[in-house]
Formats: sequence, C-alpha cells, structure tokens
Amino acid sequence: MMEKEKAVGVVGAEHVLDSPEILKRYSCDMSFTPSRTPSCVVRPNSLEHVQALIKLAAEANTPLIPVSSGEPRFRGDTVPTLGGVIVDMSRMNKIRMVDRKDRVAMVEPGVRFGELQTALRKEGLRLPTPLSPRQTKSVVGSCLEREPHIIPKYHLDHSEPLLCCEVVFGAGDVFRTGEAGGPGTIEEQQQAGRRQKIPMEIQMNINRILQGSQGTLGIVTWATVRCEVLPTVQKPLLAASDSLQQLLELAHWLVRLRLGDELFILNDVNFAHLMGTKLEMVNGLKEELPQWILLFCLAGYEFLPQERMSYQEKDASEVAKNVGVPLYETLCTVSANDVLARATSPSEPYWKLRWSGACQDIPFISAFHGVPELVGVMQEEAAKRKFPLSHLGIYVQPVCQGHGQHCEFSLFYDPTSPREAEKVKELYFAASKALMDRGAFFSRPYDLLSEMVYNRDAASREALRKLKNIFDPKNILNPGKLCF
Amino acid sequence: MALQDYEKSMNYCIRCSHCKWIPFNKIKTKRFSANCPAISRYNFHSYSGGGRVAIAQSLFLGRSEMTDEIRETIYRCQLCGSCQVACHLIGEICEPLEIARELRIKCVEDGELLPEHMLMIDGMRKEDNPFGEPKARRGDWAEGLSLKNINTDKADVIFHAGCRFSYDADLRSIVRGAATLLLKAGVNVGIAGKEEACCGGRAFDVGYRGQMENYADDIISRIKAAGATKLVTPCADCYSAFMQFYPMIRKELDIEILHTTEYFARLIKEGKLKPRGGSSLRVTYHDPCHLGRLGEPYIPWNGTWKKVWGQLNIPDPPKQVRRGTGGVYEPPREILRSIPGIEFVEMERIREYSWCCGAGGGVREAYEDFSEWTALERIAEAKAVGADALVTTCGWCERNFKDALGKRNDDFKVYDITELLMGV
Amino acid sequence: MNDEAYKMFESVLGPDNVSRDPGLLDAYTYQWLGEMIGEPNRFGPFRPACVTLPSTTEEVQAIVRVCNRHGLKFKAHSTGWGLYANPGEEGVVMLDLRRMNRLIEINEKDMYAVVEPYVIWAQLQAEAMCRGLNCVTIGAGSCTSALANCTSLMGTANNNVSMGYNERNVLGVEWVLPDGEIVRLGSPGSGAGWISGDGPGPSLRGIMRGTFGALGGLGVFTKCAVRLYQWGGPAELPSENIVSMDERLLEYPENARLFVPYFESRVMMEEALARIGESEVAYSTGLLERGLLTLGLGVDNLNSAEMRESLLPTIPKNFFTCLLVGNSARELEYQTRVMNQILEQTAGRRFEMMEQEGFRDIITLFLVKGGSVPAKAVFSPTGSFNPLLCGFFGTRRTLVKGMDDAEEIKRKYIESGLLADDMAEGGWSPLIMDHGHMEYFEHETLFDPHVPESTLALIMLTIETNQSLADKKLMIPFASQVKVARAQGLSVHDSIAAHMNCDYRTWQRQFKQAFDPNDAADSCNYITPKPKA
Ligand SMILES: Cc1cc2nc3c(=O)[nH]c(=O)nc-3n(C[C@H](O)[C@H](O)[C@H](O)COP(=O)(O)OP(=O)(O)OC[C@H]3O[C@@H](n4cnc5c(N)ncnc54)[C@H](O)[C@@H]3O)c2cc1C
Ligand code: SF4
Ligand code: SF4
Repeated sequence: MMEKEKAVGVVGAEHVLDSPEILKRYSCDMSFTPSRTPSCVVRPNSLEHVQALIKLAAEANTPLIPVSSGEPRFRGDTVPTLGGVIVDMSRMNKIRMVDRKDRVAMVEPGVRFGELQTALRKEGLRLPTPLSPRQTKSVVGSCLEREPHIIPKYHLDHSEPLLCCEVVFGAGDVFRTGEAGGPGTIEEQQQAGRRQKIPMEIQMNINRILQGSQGTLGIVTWATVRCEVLPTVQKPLLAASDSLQQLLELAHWLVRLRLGDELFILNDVNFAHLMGTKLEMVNGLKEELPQWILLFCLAGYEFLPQERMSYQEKDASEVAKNVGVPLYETLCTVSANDVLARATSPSEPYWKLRWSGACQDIPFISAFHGVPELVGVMQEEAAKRKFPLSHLGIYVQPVCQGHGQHCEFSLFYDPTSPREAEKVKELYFAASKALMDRGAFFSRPYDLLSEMVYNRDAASREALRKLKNIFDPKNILNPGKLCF
Repeated sequence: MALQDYEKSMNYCIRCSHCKWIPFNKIKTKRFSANCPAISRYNFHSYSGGGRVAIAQSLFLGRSEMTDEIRETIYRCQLCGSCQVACHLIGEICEPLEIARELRIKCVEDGELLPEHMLMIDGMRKEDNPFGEPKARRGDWAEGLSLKNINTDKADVIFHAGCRFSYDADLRSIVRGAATLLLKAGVNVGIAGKEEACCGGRAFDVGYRGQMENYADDIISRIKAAGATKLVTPCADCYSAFMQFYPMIRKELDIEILHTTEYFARLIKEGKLKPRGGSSLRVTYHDPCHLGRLGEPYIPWNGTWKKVWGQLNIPDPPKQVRRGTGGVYEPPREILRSIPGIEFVEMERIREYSWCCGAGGGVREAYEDFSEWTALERIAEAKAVGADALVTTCGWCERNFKDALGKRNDDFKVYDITELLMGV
Repeated sequence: MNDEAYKMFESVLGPDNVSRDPGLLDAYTYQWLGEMIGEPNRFGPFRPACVTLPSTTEEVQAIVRVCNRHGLKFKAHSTGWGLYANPGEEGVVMLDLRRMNRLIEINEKDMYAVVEPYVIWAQLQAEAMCRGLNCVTIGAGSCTSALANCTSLMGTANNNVSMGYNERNVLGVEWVLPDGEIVRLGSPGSGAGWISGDGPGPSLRGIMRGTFGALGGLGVFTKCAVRLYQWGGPAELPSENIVSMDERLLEYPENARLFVPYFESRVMMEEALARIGESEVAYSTGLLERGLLTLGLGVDNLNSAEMRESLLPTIPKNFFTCLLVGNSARELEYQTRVMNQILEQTAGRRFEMMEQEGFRDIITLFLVKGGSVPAKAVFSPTGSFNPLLCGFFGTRRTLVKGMDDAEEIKRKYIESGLLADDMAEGGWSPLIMDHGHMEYFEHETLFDPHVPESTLALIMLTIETNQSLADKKLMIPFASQVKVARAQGLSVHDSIAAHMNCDYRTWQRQFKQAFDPNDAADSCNYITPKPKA
C-alpha cells in the first residue's frame, strides 16, 4: 500500500485526508455497491502531482480511484472495490480557456457545469448539458462517462462534447489526445492559433477509449469541450400525450428536421420530480399530467433570430399537427420556460433526490422502435415486484442527432427503509436483465451490472482486457470495475 | 493497331472502378447499378475494364505470360463497351474497350484461340456467315417480297439484312416486316440477296481483324456498284461494324448508314409511315450496345499527345472521346411513343449505359451460361419496371433473350420494334 | 505461395474464388500512385501472393486464420482504389471483398444503413434518397465503399458541414481481428442491434480509427452501420447527359439554392464560412479553386485547356460554393436571408455565372452526390494527382494559414512546368465541417505519372509543404505524408512523431501487438509491431 507520507510528499499534508468521516464519504455512494473504505484521499493540483501519484501507486501496487464530481454520487463507479487511495481531482478546477471564435473551452476536472456556464455566457457561448445535473457534477467527469446532453442536434456523437484531453495513463505516461498531441506544445499550438478542437489522433481515437472507462485506464487533468453559440431568443414548448409512441414520433421529426435545440421526453413522475417545488405540487402533477411530456425549445442565434424562431415554430407546429399532438406554453400550471430553465441548470438539491431520499437509475441505449417495448418491460418488472409506478421516473433522450435513444429509468425510493431498498435492488437487477434480453444496450455498465453486461459480449471483454493491459498494466486504476 | 499503340492508354487507368457501374448520378437502385456483365459475374478485378487494362499492360511489359486463366478472362467479356463509357466520365486517355479488343487480337496472333470461335470463323471463311449456313440460302428470307437485287439493279437504298436475320427462322417475320415497311413507305430499296456477306464485326470482336477487313472491302465495292445513297440495316451488330469498326480500320463507307429504326423514325416524321398499333401493351426498350454506345460513329485519329499548362495532356489534332453519346437512342423511343396502344417505360440502365444482352464479343458462342445469365439480368430489370414486354432492335439481342427465357419456360415477351410497328 | 494454404483457400471459397495467376494478380498490383513508390508505371512494387474472394464473414475469418497458421500476411480491400489497398510487401494474401456487397438494412427511424464492404456510396445514396435520407458521400466520389471509408479511411465530403465527418458516422461494426477473432463494436456485440458502436464501457472505435483508419493494418471489417441524415430534396435528381459540364438537371429542386460567393481575401472568405457555420444554414459547402476548376471540368482536356485560357481570368480568386436545402419553403427562405446578411457583413459578392444553369447543375450534383466530377477534375488533366494537406484539419485561426502556405510553396513548383499549371490554386475541400466546428482544406496537385520528373516534383513539393506545416506547429497531413514517407522508404509515423509533444507510436504499436500477435495484417500504412531499424 502506498505510504501516506509519500503522498504527502507529492501534494502536501493538507491535501492528504484520512479522517474517518471523510473516508466514510468516499466509501460508498447512493448505489447498491458494497461499501469499502479507502485508505486515504489525495487531492492533486497539477499534472505533475497526478503523474507522481501514479508512479507511487505503481511502485506500491496501490489502487487509485479517480473522482472528479462531488457528492452525492450514484453509480458505484467511484466506490473502491479493493480499497486504495481516492484521487480527488476537485482542486483542479480552473477554466483554462474560453474561446468564442472557436467555440471551445478548456477545463480542469474539478470544474462544474454551473461555473462553466457562467463563464461561457459572458462570451456568448453555452455548453450543452445533461438534464439538470447535480450541482457538484464535474464537466470532465460527465464527458468521460458519455453522459448524454439534452440538445440532440449538438449531440454529434456519443463522445460529445469532449474534444481533446490530457491524461496520465496507469502506465505512467502523459498523453494528449487529438490535435493536442502536437505538433508543438500546447503553448506553441495556441500561439499558432490552434485551440485543441480536433478530437482524433491520426489512426486512433484515445478519447473514445477513455470515455466509458470509469477511471480504469488513465486520469484526465484537463479537457477541451465543444461549446455552442448562446441563443439570443428562445421559445420552449411542451407537448404531452398518453402515448409514448406519439411523442417519440414527434421527437423523431423535430430532431431529424433540426427544429428546436433542447429536446427530451419525461414521464409524468420524472416531470413532477423535476418541476415540483412542493410535495403537494409533485403529487398533484403526477395526478394531473398526461403520462408523457416532451419539451423542445426553439431558438434564434445571431442571424435573424426572430425569423429563425418564426419559421421553426411554423414548421414544428406542422410536424406536431401531423403527429396529432398539441403544443403548449404551459402545462398543468408549469410553464415551458420554467422547464427549460430547470432542465438547463444544475440543481441543488439534486432533483432526483429532492422528493425521495434515494434513486437508482437504469440507463441504456435503445433503437427507436424498442423504446415503448422496453418501457413496457420495465413496468412489468416493477409490477411483478409491486414497485409503484408512481415512483418510476422515465427519461427518453434522443441522442447522436436522432441516431438512437438514451433511456433512463429512475427508481425513486426511501433509503431509510431496508425492505424498500432491498426490493429496489432486486428490481434493479431483474429489470436490467429483462431489458437486456429485449434489446436494451447497456453501453455504460456500472459496477454491479458489468458482469451481466460483459457476459453477453465476451469478445469485447477480451479486447478491453488487452487495452487495460496496455494502458494500466499493473491494474492500479480503479481495479474491480468493468471487466478488470 | 496493336497493344503497343495503346502504350500510353495502358498507363492511364487510375484503378477507380468507374468501369463497374453506370454513371453514378443515374443510379436509381442498388439492384440495377452495375454496368459490366463480366465483373458482375466473375468478380476478380481483372474482369473489369480496368483489370483488362492491367492485364494488357502486364503482358505488354512482359511481367506475365498468357495462361488459360488469362485467356478465359480476356474472352469472358461481351466487349459491350459499357466500361469505356463510364471510364470516359473521368478521363479520356485510357480506353479499356479498345484495349480489351486488342488483347483478343493479340490472342489470335499468338494462336491462343477458343475452339468455339474457330468454328465461327470457319463458318465465315466457308460460307460468309458465322453459323456456317449455306451462302446460297442467304437471300431466302426475302422470297416473295418485291425487293430489287442490287447486284443487277440500281437502288436508292441498300438493305443489309445481316447474318442473324438472314438465317434465323424465328426472326424472319422481323426482317421481312422491315423490308415491307420500307416498300410501303415508297422507298426504292434493294438487297444483295445471296451475295450479301457478313459485316465481319463478330470476327473482329473475337480478334480476327483480317477477316473483317475482307468483308469491308466487299461491301465497299458493292456500294459503289449499286450507286445507292443509303445503307439500311435492321441489325445493330452490322450497324456498329459499319459505324465503328470500319472507320477504326480505315475502311470508311462512303454512304449514309442508317439503322432501320432511324429510317423508320424519319419516315414516320415525314408522314410516309403510319404505325399501325395493336393491343395495348406496356413495354420497355433495351438499347442494344451495338446500336447505342457502339453505334457511335468512330472518328479515326492519328495524332500525338501534347503538353500545355505544364502537364495537361491534350491530343493534337483533337481526338474524339468515345462516351457513346453519339449512338442511336432517340429514334427507337420516338417510334415507340408513336405507336398507338403502346405504353413506354424506361428501365434503369438505358442509352449509353444500358446493360448488355449478353450475346456480344463471342460470349454467346463460347460461354453460353454467362451469356444467358447476362440476358436474364436484363429481363429482371425489364420486369422490375413493370413491363409486359421487352422491345429491342437487334436480332442478336432478341435471340439471346428468347433463348434465355425459353430455357426457363418463361413466357415473358420479347419483340423487335418492327413487330410493334406492324402491330402484334 | 504455400500450396497447403492455397488449397485451404480453395476448399473454403471454391476454386473459382481464389487465384494466383500472375497476370490476374497484376490487376491487383496495378494502382493509382503505383508510380510514386515503384517504377514510373502503375504497377506497385509488390504483387500479391494470391487473391481471395470471400462472400461471408465466416469465410473472411477462415482466410485470416489460415494466414495466421501459415505465417502469411493478408490485406483486405473493398473497391480497392489507391495505394493503400495494395500489398506493402511480397507474399501478401489479398481479400477482395467484392462479393460482400449486401445492403442489409435501411432503418429509417434510427437513420442508418447496415452495409457490407462492397456497397458503394452511390448505391447507398440512391437507396437512402428515395427514403428522404442521405449519406456523406465522400469527395473521392460515389465509386468508393461506404464501409471502407467509415471504418478504415477518412470521410471528408462537401456535406460534412451538415452531416459531419465519417469518423463519427459509423455506429455498430463487425470486425474480424487480425488473429481471426470476431468482435462486434457496440450494441451488435451485445445482440442489441446496430444502434451504437461505443461500449459496453470504453469504446473500441478508438482503436479502429482516428482521423484516418488503419488502412488494412488491423484486420477486416465485414459489416457496419452508417449514419444517414434527413434529405429535404426530391427522391431522385434526374439529369440528362452524363459527362461533367454537359450534365443538366431536368428540374432544379424546389427547396435547394446554390450560392457562389466570392471575397476580397481569404480571411474574409473564412469569416463568412464561420458565420455560415454558426448560423447552421448550409447543407453542403465546397471549395473548388479556379485552377482546378478550369483544368478539371472541361468535357475533355482540350476544352479544359481552353477554359484555363479564357475562363480563368473571369473567375474571382476567393470563392466557394454553398448549397442550401430547406425542409420547407420557409426554411429555405430563412437560410437565403441569412446568407444574404452574412455576405453583406463580409463584403461577399455573388459569382453569378456559377449560380446559373450549367455550372449550377453540376455543382449542385457535385455538392449533393459527389458523382464523378471530383475524380474527373483531378485525374483527367494529367492522369494522376495527389493532394497536399490531405488530412489537414484546421480551426478558425489555422485554415487560412494552411491555404496560404500551400499556395506559396506550390507556386515555385508550378513555375518549373513539372506540374499542371493551376496557378497554385488547386484547392478542393468542404472548408467547414459540423457547422464550422472543424475546418478542412486540401490542395490537389496534378502531375503526370509517366513523366518521372513530374512525380518527383510532386514528392518534393509534398515534403516541403509538410515540413513547413510542422515548423509552424500546424497539423501534419497524414495522407500526404504517408505516401512520401513510403516513397522515401521511411515509416510515416516516425516522420511525424518527431514533431509531437508525446509519442503516440507507443500506444498504436501496442494495439498492433495486442490485436495482431502474429503480425498477419499488412501494416505498410499502419504501424509495424516493432520499430523500423
Ligand atoms: C482519388 C481519391 C480521392 C479521395 N478523396 C477522398 C475524399 O475526398 N474524402 C475521403 O474521405 N476519402 C477520400 N479518399 C479515400 C477514400 O476514403 C477511399 O478511397 C474510400 O473511402 C475507400 O473505399 P475504397 O473502396 O476505395 O477502399 P479500398 O481502396 O478498398 O480500401 C482503402 C483502405 O482501407 C482498407 N480497407 C478497405 N476495406 C476494408 C475492410 N473491409 N476491412 C479492412 N480494411 C479495409 C484497405 O486495406 C485500404 O488500406 C480518396 C481516395 C481516392 C482514391
Ligand atoms: S478502366 Fe477507366 S474506369 Fe476502369 S478503373 Fe481504369 S480508369 Fe477507372
Ligand atoms: S466490354 Fe462490357 S463486359 Fe467487357 S469489360 Fe467492358 S463492360 Fe465489361
């Protein structure tokens, strides 16, 4: 095990924490991953720190668990499976660059969505963001998780919005992805006018390998992210229906025809949880709302913004009419403006926890036609275990410019009731399996599900093990996750 | 010409595979996007126009020797010319069709012969037709029609029936019909009867250049003697030989050469011929290679390539780029549109980029299955556009389609345009 | 070659689908740019050991396994155009994937098509367009393989502006690894359809390719899902005539409009492009610099020579083409107004000659379909070309630098008379991708493959340009560099890595070692498992 003094030698004593209270906070999260206490928490502040820590860990065969976001954490990915040292990146929280001209920002892993959005707004930019992320969510962390954001037309690929990054592999080497790798140093590149925007290397794309690796291959010390022009005008609209199919159809055409920016579908439960300001309101909404609600937002940018809104609104209305769904500015007293505002800003307290003490998510990717069926599978599984549908949140997010749907089921429950927690855990496993059996693709297999996922794809598992062996031959980075 | 005359040409293939497809902007479905029967059937790149260029270059440079496999490759090709049309969308120096033909001439010169082709040539040598049918019976088809005999009488129009129409009993009504229509339109038309000889195009296609030269001389003297102004033929193969091959070997015919469809279309326009029309029929039209892209008049060139603007290659004097655009495409269509009761629909591969019937290039004689397969591909296309019948204007195409259908007991109809004009 | 292996190929594929006839193999040796690394003719330096024609993934797997067992190198190609498709050494077994030509599925709601290697862009596009969809038909033209491009090559195309670069346009992939194992990237690996190519967990797409693919050096891709996008134009674009400037649209699509603006300077041109990008109005954009345009677009070379003489002086220097396609009349109207506003702001003027029938039709077809026009432009004049800056991905402050640099250096070479005289204005490119998030430029250079001095001039010019880019800390264009490196007998990555701030070869080489333990896949355009001595 890495000696504490050595870590202190790297980052200074005040950044090596091992008080029991602190260790406890890193030993578990909101997921069902069994808790395990790390030996200490180290807070590096530079590339050199990270490099030195990796070197020490390799020498001492000590697991390192990189963490960028703050609590509450949900996925079990940062709970040390085998113990070890938590590398908390939150001190590295500088926004290193915002460039309006190239629509790009460079951030360290500790930078959170709220801070970045504020900085970007000043420059007339914005970053497409996941649905109301928790306030403590790291931008880099979210990118590395391949978390989808809510503007499908800017979700160019599952790798969005990550561009380039600097990473220290478990093997100890520093690497800069995409064009950041050269020619020249970053400073020289920037002098030459380059802004680290091209995300690919020549014949490989290391970003793609890092994304979804849950800290098992390398530790990222900064990343550039693709930003977009801040709209000058916006008009969000809501559509609602008891038929998911109908809203999916609407979403398909809106995304396909590039009508509107933000766009997502929630079921009544999720919508109520996101928008409720009081418990009564949450319950009231659940009762009154149609089963499914879609938000989309028209926008105008710098050029003829009103005209853009106007043609988009007319075209979108035509689409809605063809699909047979009315559009609203307000639905059950909730205005579309409020929904947009909520969806695009970080939430504190996190909306998924605000009305229930805990939440277990089941995220996966589906083809268009699979979504209603998979919702049915989830509901059946819930019913089998008497899990109330009023506690089942559903989020459907067209991704990759309409090439696929991200679905996320949220099981809201009361963590203080062990029986309820046990029931949810069972449902979590059973439903995940049933969903996989029916074609749901678990592209981000978190902790407890990973075995189930990789058992379906032994070839990928073999290939990934080879990669692990290349980037982290001593298996010091977050061991026990994924398939290694 | 010989391979070495194509030395430059052989160097300018860019290996792009345009020669495997119809022009890209014309593709409507994947199913009917291919243009080359040979590569479509045999798959090795060597079977495509570009592959043939590479083979030729390889043999020419002595990098490889003739083998059975290469000889097969060389002869499994209809010389339909579709590759060259596509190739000339992106260049002009490389001439895959001419090179493919030169390969055959080289085979013949080197004694690399196919027995089936030798049989055909024997027939020509003995009886002046590729089937070896008695020369004396060549004019039988015209019995009872009051056509002039150009060997003795003057006529304004020489009607050249061609070997296929002269001997194929199944097609007799077509050739007789064509002549009858001309007579009805008041045309002063004569035939050479049993003195008519093969055009030699088929011989040239399989590599026997000398054989064709003899026939060309024969026709030239006959035309002179007859004092005619036009040479009309119902056979697309003959048409192509006159328009393309003869000028290629510098044996231009000093006479207006018309395919019957061109002449019919002219006569209809002039009001001299009234299409009769029959029952209502939805038809599609197969452009025979030899009437279409291979019917494009050939303009001989004996120049050099010069450099301008640095390295831009230009021909001096100007040189025709053969893209088939000068072939006969509109007249048959005009005729079809003029016939009452006929609904005319186009297939996907038409005009310069039409798919071959499979009969050409000595393939029908030597590789029957390939020839048939090629025909069936075309029939599938005709069916896919919902046609009741496939119309063509070449005896060889018609024969090949009919044989392919016959073997499968498929009663899909194939007509010559003349039959429709007469009312079927 | 090894008789036992050959017999095994015959038994797997049937004797009709394997050959080792020297003449036939020469058809697999003859190649565009053969002149660059071999004799001054089209034959590359290496003839394959044999050619195989597999028709299924299982057959591919069997061939690869036989190669591994017998210590044979192999290389697959799709349509097989260009030096990358040829063997990099003696004794290579070729897999010509021509028989794997199935278009397996078009999924309209998820907007993708699952294709095998020999489905070409033109086929995919025709099938997509009649369903109201379109694909990123690359600049090479429609005759190339969609799968090869998405998995193994690049993906630059005029419509990159609205549909992105093809690195990101691939979803699920089926891949026979160099050792014969099959891996299916993303959802197909889990039996969950073709909808995603990433995961579970880290995405193996990251090994498959970057700006470029492995060019045959990492096994064989046998199926992939290619993304399709909304197409607001008609199901077909019927035209008459077939060649270049002769081709005419029978009817100009109602909801399309072509803009051909020109500018005082490149800087202003780039500014306008950036604004077009940010306003998200363009469907397809393209640079076709006047030197290339006049030399390349004549119906034949004589006509081109004439265009070069008399037309060129009437063409402004800094112009580009931009096609708007509205999904509604309203949208087109809006796009048009935005374009006008941008041109006003950037002092752009409209080059009307190119917006009128004739040029308008072929440029529109070119911007939507690719077709044969790009190949005609670069090959017809001299018989060969090679792009400078092929792989030069820029951003807002670097595009113009790259363009200026290439032009300046090239001018000298033009003066020598050894290249086609395009006045050093031979650029083709989409200019902007992803609505301006990336910019791209390449500079086509036309040389005569059978004038050895001409080929040499091209090589020297490329070397000089790439060195200059590296000195300026700009991106070194891989596809230009790889060929000159091979012409010099160097390893391309050695020549590039020296300029980088971290040695990426380490990782690429380890991928090669891990996934190709027997070094069976021909990696002349990828990386060798061990550094070159
Ligand atoms: C004249 C020209 C212009 C070009 N311009 C552009 C352009 O503008 N934009 C652009 O993106 N690209 C361009 N390219 C490159 C182009 O991407 C490829 O030529 C094409 O996409 C690949 O199709 P292909 O069938 O020709 O590939 P091939 O020639 O068959 O293969 C190309 C490479 O990929 C490998 N490969 C092919 N198929 C497989 C497979 N199934 N499995 C494993 N490896 C495989 C081959 O080994 C080879 O290394 C150009 C190429 C040419 C020749
Ligand atoms: S023959 Fe013509 S079309 Fe065919 S590959 Fe060669 S250059 Fe291309
Ligand atoms: S002539 Fe016809 S069959 Fe022969 S290679 Fe050309 S296209 Fe193919």
